[in-house]
Amino acid sequence: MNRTDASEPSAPLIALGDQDAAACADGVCHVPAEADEPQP
Amino acid sequence: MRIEIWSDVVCPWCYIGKRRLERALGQFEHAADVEVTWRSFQLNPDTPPGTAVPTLDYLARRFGPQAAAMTTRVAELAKAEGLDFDFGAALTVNTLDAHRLLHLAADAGVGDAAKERLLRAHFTEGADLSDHDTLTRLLTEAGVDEPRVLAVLASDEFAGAVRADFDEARMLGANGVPFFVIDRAYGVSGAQSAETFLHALRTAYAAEDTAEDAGAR
Repeated sequence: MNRTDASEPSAPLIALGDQDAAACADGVCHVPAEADEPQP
Repeated sequence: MRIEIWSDVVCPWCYIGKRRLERALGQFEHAADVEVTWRSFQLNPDTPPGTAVPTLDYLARRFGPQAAAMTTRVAELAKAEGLDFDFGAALTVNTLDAHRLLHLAADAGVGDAAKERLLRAHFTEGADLSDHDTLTRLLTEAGVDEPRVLAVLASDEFAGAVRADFDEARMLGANGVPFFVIDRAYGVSGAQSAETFLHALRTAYAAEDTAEDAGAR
């Protein structure tokens, strides 16, 4: 599992998966599924 | 098949998502054809370099008394993935140097080992991922040559690569991390379940297979 350096131009991505899955942005992490509250 | 993953080493959902993806790959029929590429993303880029704030203090200032309950809940979810999170020991820091070293580690062929080592150091061991001595120890443990680690830390090497990763995430529409991109065609946002990751992998693989068949005709 290693990094390579390709960064070719790309078309808009097709979204897969649960769009409400837990993620972090701007220093705040959210858990939308059970409770829509900020998480560390 | 290439999976690029934007994440930060102080992002709890990135570590949990990493484990879930690994579980999905363990069940994916074509896992041997998958190459994972780690990309840089800083959750707290404005954190002053050289400062380390206890994460619980940082969160308490930001969210008040509910911060403790938040961390407890995330730690429980992490535990379900076999991860031992210790938010009481964790330190909020600027992760730019850590990301620069992850690029070095990738070039050295140990990108995943280094990523895993830094995540464990932050979430389980309470390591300061902005401290150069600590970073040197962790990267060498992951298999990177110490002289190269010291040289990178003494320079701004790979800073441009870190910024390019961040810019690319925005260009691709990422509004949070972890953010997974498969073959520059499919985007998967957040710490999905292993089952969802597996479904996404199979969907992307089948589409690629179909496209190749069409191209061959």
